[in-house]
Amino acid sequence: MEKTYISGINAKIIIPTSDCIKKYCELKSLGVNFIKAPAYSRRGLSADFIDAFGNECSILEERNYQSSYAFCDEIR
Amino acid sequence: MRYVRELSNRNRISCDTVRNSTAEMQEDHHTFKFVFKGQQDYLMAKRKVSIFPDSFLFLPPGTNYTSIVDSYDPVDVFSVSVSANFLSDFHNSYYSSTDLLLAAPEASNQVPEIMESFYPFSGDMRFTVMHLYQRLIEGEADELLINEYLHHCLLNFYRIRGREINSRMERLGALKASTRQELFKRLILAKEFISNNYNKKFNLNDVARFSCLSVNHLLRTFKEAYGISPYQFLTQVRLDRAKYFLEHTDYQVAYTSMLVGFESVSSFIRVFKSTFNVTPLKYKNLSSIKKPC
Repeated sequence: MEKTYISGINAKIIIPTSDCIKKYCELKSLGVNFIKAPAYSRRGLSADFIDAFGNECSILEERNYQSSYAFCDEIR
Repeated sequence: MRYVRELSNRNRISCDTVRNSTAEMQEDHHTFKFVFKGQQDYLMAKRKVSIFPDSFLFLPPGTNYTSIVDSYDPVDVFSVSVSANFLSDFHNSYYSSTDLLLAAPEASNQVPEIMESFYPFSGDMRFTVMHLYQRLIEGEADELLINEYLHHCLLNFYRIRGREINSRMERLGALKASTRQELFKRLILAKEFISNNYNKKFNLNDVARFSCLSVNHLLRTFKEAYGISPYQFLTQVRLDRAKYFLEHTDYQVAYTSMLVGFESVSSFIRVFKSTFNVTPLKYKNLSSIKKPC
């Protein structure tokens, strides 16, 4: 299959998620081949894979490290 | 909600909501203890550690302890235990997959002895644990997923440990490594004392006596390791817990200030405002707007 993006542009598709580890396990069990396991950065937690069309994708869980307790409230 | 789950690799997760309970236990796994709401006390051989939602406790295998909850409001406790095999597998992969293998090759073989201590429950560790908790509430049964969370818990823990212990210990001026280690153990005791008694009246002599250091030595080394004085640390703990009460309870500002150990409401408001750029009342109102329920 051909790549869907214009050649010469090295774009990465970012897929936002609320829980990167869960998404990573789900996609992995569906046979997605990850090139980078979940890893931490300033923005949060992300994992990279190449899709069936050759596009580089990244699932990203953005984390707000500023608010100490806000996250607890979200899930309660 | 009470929930206990043991995985096939002997890792164990449990959560519970309790008001009054006393339990004597011996830990056979490496265990992390969290409190999402309220306070839980642990008594371990002459030592008492209180866990609040801003910190978590690590217990190595073989620790004897008594856990105590005595509260009018329900306390949410959460515990994660990992087996020795799981930890040593993680330890080896942690040091062999990164450049750290070059930096510390001797660390790759054996899991170092990790002393029981409390650590700040924030950042990625908080996110990972809260996600795991949420999955368990939803009835998640996939062991692979749960083990992935546990793997990340350990990853986050190693990073916290590296930051909180190894790098802080290196800052101490003592020449010998064993002296630094001993000094640091005493500083942890000092930190524990301040955190446990944050709402009581005590002075530096009490902290120094508890941590077996002289007052001058304590002041100097505490600042060396943590970058702040014991008194600044106490204020930080008080303000953090005041923030928690303002967000999660209906207590008045005056009552909150008394609860976290400030002698006067005005000094509480002044310190709170100078630290967070917002008055406690405004902060309380803001957090109640964010939380419609």
